[in-house]
Amino acid sequence: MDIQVNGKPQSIPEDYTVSMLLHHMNYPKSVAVFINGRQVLLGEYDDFGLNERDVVKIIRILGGG
Amino acid sequence: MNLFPDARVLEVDLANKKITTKVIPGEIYRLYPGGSALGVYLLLQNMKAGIDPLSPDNMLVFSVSALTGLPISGISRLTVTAKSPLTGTIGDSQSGGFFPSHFKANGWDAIVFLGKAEAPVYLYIDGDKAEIKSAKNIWGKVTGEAEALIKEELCDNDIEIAQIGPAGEKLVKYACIINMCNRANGRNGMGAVMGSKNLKAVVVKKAKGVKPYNREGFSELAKSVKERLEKNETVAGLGKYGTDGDLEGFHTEGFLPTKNWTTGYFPEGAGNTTGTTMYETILKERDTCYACAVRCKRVVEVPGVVDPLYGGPEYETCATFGSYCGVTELETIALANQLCNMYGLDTISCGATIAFAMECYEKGLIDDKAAEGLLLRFGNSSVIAEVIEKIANREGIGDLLAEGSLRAARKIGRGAEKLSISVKGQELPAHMPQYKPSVGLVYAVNPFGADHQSSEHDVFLVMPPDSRERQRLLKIGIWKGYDNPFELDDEKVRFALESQKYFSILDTLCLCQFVWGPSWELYGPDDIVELCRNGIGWDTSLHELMLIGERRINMMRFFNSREGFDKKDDKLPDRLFEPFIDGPSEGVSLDKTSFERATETYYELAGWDKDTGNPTKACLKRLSLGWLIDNKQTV
Repeated sequence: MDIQVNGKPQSIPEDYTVSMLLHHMNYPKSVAVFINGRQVLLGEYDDFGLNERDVVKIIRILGGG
Repeated sequence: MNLFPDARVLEVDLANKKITTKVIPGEIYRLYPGGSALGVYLLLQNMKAGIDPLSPDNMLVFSVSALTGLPISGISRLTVTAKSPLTGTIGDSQSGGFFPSHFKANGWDAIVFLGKAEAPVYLYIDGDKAEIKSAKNIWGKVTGEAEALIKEELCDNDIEIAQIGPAGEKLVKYACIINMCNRANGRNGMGAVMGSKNLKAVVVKKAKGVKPYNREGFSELAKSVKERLEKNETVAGLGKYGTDGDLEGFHTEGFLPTKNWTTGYFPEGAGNTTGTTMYETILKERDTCYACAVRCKRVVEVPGVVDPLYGGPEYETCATFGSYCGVTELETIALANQLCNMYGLDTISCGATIAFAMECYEKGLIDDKAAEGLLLRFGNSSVIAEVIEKIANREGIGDLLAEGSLRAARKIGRGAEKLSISVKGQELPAHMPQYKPSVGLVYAVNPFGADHQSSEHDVFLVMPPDSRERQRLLKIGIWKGYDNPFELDDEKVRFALESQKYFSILDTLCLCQFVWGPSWELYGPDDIVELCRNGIGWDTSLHELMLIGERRINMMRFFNSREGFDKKDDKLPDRLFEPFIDGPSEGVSLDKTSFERATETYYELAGWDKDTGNPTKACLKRLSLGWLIDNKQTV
């Protein structure tokens, strides 16, 4: 199915969760994820299913040091 | 009982070769329990305002804390405090390693250096014995050579040495203090203050570790580090890839300071210079500080070019000598890091000042004659090593650049000042306020110039509410989340101030900010209270600790007010308010009106005077600093 991630089209298999998407796109788990404007809780990443035409925003956490 | 230990302070009068011991009673020490809080307290008690930072009148304070030396991760930090020759403000700088813990294990909390030695000396400490020794044979030597000579002279390898290199001797304004040949009290030019006193090194005999007050409770906290590391992929990544692990990520987002901050985009070099590349190419091993399980320090080797003795570059160093200068070769950066550690130079100010010179050269503000034939163009990696050596030795153009970018710009004139990317004369570290506006706010208001380790970074507020980061921040009253890092509303300003107070606790208690921070780090706010209780029997609270952090900031700000600083000095470079012209961040800039409003809000929340930006009498009294109100008489 087709979704949009950070403004770019992305094709993913059916039944993909947030965790699977992050793994697929080489993101670590410690990122922020917003789907259709709603922030997903960290505890939901493994179970939160993605749907056709979802608009996903992933924010990478780049800290100090 | 809830008693606080006394502080034992060595006072070393270098001019008169006199060493005395002073004791600060526990009830006073508790208010300023180490680090730069203790340092600025001692300066405000004993030093007049308006002195030349490189004159014998400046005081130099080495300090640890009541907690230093305990056997737990992230606790071996040394603070050095003096009036800064780079900024003219209070100077404050921290480093890790083994020196801090062994210094404390010898029974000392601080050393105060007064005056100037007639000839080069070093201080040797072995328990209660402290001795001023001649440094005649090591003056002029780079750190690696000096360390070997001191060990040979003392016939002892069981010592730790904090020293300056030739740059400190030559009074380079951003000279630093180096221990282990690769750990730096980098910022604010504390090495130049040491050089101005003819003080080459402080040497401590290794000593048996400090024992915790409640062994059982402490052991539980210390042993939990393994589990914490397993669960914390941010800190685990820091251990594996070092602080440079995120460099390419900053570029990908368009916020890696590049070519003297003219862009945030570095496609030609980000991949070559990021921490994963370092890990896969020149990394020889990971190093650590006393009792620390994180092992974030890099040790790199390039046979025949870069010696592992001098460690390896941090993110800041990879950025300042890499993207700031348009340099794409990791080897050049590693060599620059080595030269800075040999000569004793702050890698941030040094790399940033060279980047400034490159832009001046490209814009014709430094001509070929002034550049002495060096092609100071962005990306010309072949000039980096030579320029560093010229700076360290104050030769030719190096003498100009040894003053830092702001003073150099004022000498160059013709608008060069706009190219100095600095606050209060200190060059900006590699975190862009366009991406992290609250960090930018703290760059502006921070008492000792731009510093990225004085508050938590904006981006952690976009993490989900159930994340470790957000849950911990709730403990210090930070409740609001964001869907982007770019906002700078009133709650974000409050986040800047409250997290600044928290980081100020860390710089007081001399705790590593990667291990003991308020959000993503290994241990959080509850743990720090437990550390105090189990470590030294200090039955404290987060409330008391936050007051301590706030007290330090206010003392520093008060110190600066005596020197004539006020809100007019809390300015970011104009370049940060101009939109980026390329890369993923194209069009992004800080909004000047919003930023100025945020600065006013910050003063208001801090309880500072809105016209001057300095602490009010009421604010000082609230922080038990009423004794400072008459202190201006010392001006």
